[in-house]
Formats: sequence, structure tokens, C-alpha cells
Amino acid sequence: MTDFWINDRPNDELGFILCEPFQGWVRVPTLQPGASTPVGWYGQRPSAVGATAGSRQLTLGVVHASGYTLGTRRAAVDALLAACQGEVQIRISDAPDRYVKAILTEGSAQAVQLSLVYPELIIPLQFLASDPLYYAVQPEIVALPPQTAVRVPWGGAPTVGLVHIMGITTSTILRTRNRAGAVVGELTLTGTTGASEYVALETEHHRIQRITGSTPTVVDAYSWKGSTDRFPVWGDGDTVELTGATTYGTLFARKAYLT
Amino acid sequence: MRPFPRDLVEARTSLLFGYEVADHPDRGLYLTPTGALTHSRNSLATAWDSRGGLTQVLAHQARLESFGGVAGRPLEGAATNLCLRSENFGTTWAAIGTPTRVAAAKRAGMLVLDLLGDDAAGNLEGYSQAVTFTANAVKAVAVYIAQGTSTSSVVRLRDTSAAANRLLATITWSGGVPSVAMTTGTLIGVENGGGGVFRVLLQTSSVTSANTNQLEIYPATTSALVTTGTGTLYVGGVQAENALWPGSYLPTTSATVARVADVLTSSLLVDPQDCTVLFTSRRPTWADVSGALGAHQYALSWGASGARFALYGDASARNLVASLHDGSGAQTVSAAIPAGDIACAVQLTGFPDAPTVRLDVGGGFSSWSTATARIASWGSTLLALGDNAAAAGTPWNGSGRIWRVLPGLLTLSEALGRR
Repeated sequence: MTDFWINDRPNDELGFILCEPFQGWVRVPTLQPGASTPVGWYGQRPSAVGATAGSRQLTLGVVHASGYTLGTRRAAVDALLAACQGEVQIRISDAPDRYVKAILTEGSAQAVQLSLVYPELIIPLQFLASDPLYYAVQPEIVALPPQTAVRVPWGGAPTVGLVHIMGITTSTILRTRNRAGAVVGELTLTGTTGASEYVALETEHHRIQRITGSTPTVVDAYSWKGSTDRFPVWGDGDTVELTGATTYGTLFARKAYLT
Repeated sequence: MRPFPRDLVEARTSLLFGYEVADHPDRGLYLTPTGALTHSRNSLATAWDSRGGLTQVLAHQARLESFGGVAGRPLEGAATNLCLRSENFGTTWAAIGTPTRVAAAKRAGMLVLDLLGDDAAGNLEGYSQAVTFTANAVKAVAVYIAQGTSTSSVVRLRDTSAAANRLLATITWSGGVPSVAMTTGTLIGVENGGGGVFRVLLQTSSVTSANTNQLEIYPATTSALVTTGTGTLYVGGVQAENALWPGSYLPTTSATVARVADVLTSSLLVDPQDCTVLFTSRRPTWADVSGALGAHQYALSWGASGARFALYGDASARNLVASLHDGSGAQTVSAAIPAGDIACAVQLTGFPDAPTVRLDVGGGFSSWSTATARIASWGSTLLALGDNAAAAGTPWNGSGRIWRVLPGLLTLSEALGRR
């Protein structure tokens, strides 16, 4: 573990290397029974899923990579802290295929050792990941044929994703079944999807958009029926299917990991 | 024209331009600072999914594929599948002997494969369909297969008028992977998208279009077409094109199905300056085709007229070519396409008085090109990804992953790491 990326910017571009072991990166998040169990999830679940989210404390100890003066290293620190503003996505080199979302909570200039005796400039960057899960960088692209149950990719924690739904259809249902084949959740779209339009449904952000025509028109034109309808969060062994003989789609699944 | 159907995410970036699909859908696109990305393709299209199956998208919809676990963005020219009922041997196809058939015995995403069987040890059994080609030339044939019980199967294009084979490919299996031996025609490659379904990409020898050309599939025979074999083979997604190599699959039913070209463009309002162009792609099918391709295969081009830059696969040799055009003539440098996937960095420098270019496809930079005449400004701001901005319709015909234009002169590895 020597490299890291912040918002996909590698540490060497940021001008820093790692000088201390990463902390908090491989801790399994606290598990607790779900109070409001996500669709398809049964048994234990990460506390991040649902209302009582846990968190992950992360620490990166970094040192300026090359020769500098007091003036240039201060500028380098400023640039590093600027790169960490807001919620950032962090990857580390032992698992560069997944990232965690976090905010910088400690890493201010007070932590900088402005010493001429020790040329190294060690900055412990502390991050807080309210959602402790790691997410796959690459999507898994899975075709959803008409009326066909398709196994949802699984990484160790509930999978979320984007579903493109197309084909002429009325009141399409996005149906989730558990490993045993029982229906554990449904989301019914109101309205009719025409021949030249498709629906983009984001399970994570609870957003449904219709993309229609040959111009870039994106509207929030769809809703869902009934109090029992929910946006799915897929568990281990879950399948997803689209009802409607002419309805098909593509699932861009984002696998989540505990560590 | 429509944008990529995802949120555009502002990225803190030093890029002059960047587009990358090797990411999850939330972050699939990096903004160009000067123009939106637009895409059009007024027809359906398909691509590999993560499990060796097929996804299908609507007209104009951005197409993403996953091949070898890595996402890509197929950008192709026009094509037509001439083979009817590409996934249904129960209609249009004629039985040879009395083959067995289990309809839709296997699904691979949107793709349906029939299980074809030869259960008679004394007869040759299979299915055939006459395909109407235009022009006497080499043609492209592709078929999706999955292993059944047969140890040897044959795909043949038979000129029944001349009683000659134009294609004879024998498929055997080892460890769950097909091996294809050619008696007539050329094997371009076997795509393994995962999931046990493979796509065999073939070239015929030159066909005579006025004759009857019959595509034949025998689930259980050898290159000598022995009658003793029995067994089954999953077959579907049969494609035949008036082309030198097969494009992405086009499902057909009662009529041929055409796909028009993908057009992915933006604008880049940046003066000529020291910069590095990065392009990566899954290895395109044409990289393994021998002989002339008929046209250059454009990976990226900047400027529709006058002073412009382009990166393309050469029509006559399997080289990548970086071309810097001063409005009256071009200077080029080239490098042979390496094995495997493509990653290429092109450096442009010497503006405005002595512009020159060089490229690296993984083996180190070429020499600098001869300097062009003075280039003080680009002829236009049009940036075409996977196409030629100066003459649309000569696309990359492959699955690009990263397009970047970065300020300054960077190595290939630096450009790959920079966002």
C-alpha cells in the first residue's frame, strides 16, 4: 500500500507520498439488524444501509514527495487540501478497483511540521466516511431481457445501480426476487415508454428520468405507484426482472464492499 | 443529438478535454471546458455485457460495453446484417437432413441461442440459409456459439452455383474454449465476453454475388463433412455483412437490419499549443485483419478543415498514424499496432512556426515528424471521437475507452495517470 488517489488524482500528481500506514481502511463496518430492511436484504446488514448509518474513520499520513522550500511546500499543502475539499472519492493501491466516499475532517495547516531540521512535511489527513462501504469503480453491465430474472452482481454489501429501461411498455414493474425466488420488492412505473425513449432509474438516488426524442430532453416524468413500491437495494442472490413482453433494459450495477 | 444520458460531473481537472467510459455510470463523463459532448446514431445497436451476453440500446442512446471486465464505448460505422432470423433456426432457415432443435435453449443477455443437434450417425444434419450479398468481394460472417455435446462443428458458406466453399470453419472445444480451424476463409478472432458464450469472427474468400451463397451450420461434423458425427451446439446471433470484418451484432427477424454510424463529437476551443493526446481502446476487430481495410479508422480528430490533427488506424497497414495537417498538407508519424489492447499517446509541439508530432503506442516515442508549415490556429474547433471530423463516416470501428487532451508534453504513463 504505497499509492492513493483522491478524486482519481494519483498521489504523485498531488506531490505527496505515503509515510505512515493507512488506518481504518480494512475495518469491517459495524453490523446490526436492519430496522427498515432494504429490498432483498435479510439477516445482518451494514449499519450504513438505512437510517442509522455507521461511519468509517480513515487516516492518510502523507509526506511531500520531493525537494521544496518553505514557500513551495506551503503551496503544495494548500493544493493538497484544496484537492480534498468537499466529499471526495478515495482509492488506495491495495484495492484500486473500489473507492470510498469521505470528507476531510483533520488536515489543517496546524498539523504541518514547519521545521527546517526535518525536511519532511508530514500531514496526517483524517477522513470521515459516513457511508463506510467501498464501491466498485467499474460498473458491471448486465442485460435485462424481457420478463427474465437476472442475478444482480454482488460484492459483499448491498448493490445499487442505474437501470435503463426501454421498449414500448405501459406500467413496467422492476421486480426483485430473493434467492428463493420470492418477490421481495417491486417498483411500478406509471406512464408509457415509447419506441424512441427510455427511462433511467437510479436506485441509489431514488431518481427516475425519461429521456425522449432525438434532442437532449430529460424530464422527471415518471413516478411510482403505491405505498409498497420501493427503490431496490439488492442483496446476495437477488434477481431483478422487467415485466412486459417488449420491455428490456440494461443494469449498470455498482457493487459495494465491506472492506 | 443528445448528451451522454448521465449526469455531467464537474471534475477538478487540468485537462483540455477528457472523456472516459472506464468508470461507473455516475462518473462516466468528464467535461470538456468548451463544449458539450453529443452523440447520435439513429438506429438500434448492441454490445457485450459483463457476463458474455448482449445488451441492446435504442437509437441515439449511448452504448456501453463490458469486455474483459473493463467498460468501453463502441463507435462504429454503418453496417447491415444480411442473415435473416439471426436467432431463430425454426423459420427461414432450411433443415439439412433432420436436425434436432431446442428453440431458445440458452440466453446470454438479450441474445437467444438455439440448441442445434445432429442425432443421426449416418447423415449430415444442420441448417442453411441463402444470403444475398452485393459485389464480388470478401465478406464478413460472425456467429455466437456455446459448447454443447458435439466435439466438432462446422460453419460453411457454400457457393451452390459454383459448387465451391467460400468459408469453411471447423470449431472444436478444449477446456470450455473453442478452437477454430479454417479450411477456407480466414479466422479474424474469437471474442470471449465471459459466461461461456463466444463470438467467432470470420472472413470468407471472395464470393460471387450473382451466385447462390448458402450459409450452413452443422453442429456435429468435421472439416471433411463426415456424416458419422452426432452431438449438439448452441448457436445464435448469426451475422453476414458486405464488409471485410464483422461489426457488432445486429439481431434480425424477417428482414435485414441496418445500423447507421455512431457520431460522437464535441468542440475544443483551444489554441495550438504543446499538448498530449491520449487514446485507449479495446483491440478493434480490424487490427487482426490482413490487407487493405478500404478506409482509415479514426480514433480522434480535431478540426474539420484547414489546420487539423487526427489519429487513425491506417487503411493499408496495421499502424496507428498521427497526422498533423497545416491546411495544405499533412505530416505523419506511425507505429505498428501492438498486441492486445491499444493505449497511445501523441505529443504535439513546435507551434506556431514549426509544428511537429510524435506518438507512442507502448514501445517508446517515434521520431518527431517533419515540421508542417505555420499553424497559428486550428481550422475548426470540432472534435470528433472515433471519427474523422474532416470527413464524417470513417469511424474507429472499435470500442474506445479514454480520450484525453492534456496540456504539455507527457509520456504515455503520465497521460494515463492524469485526469
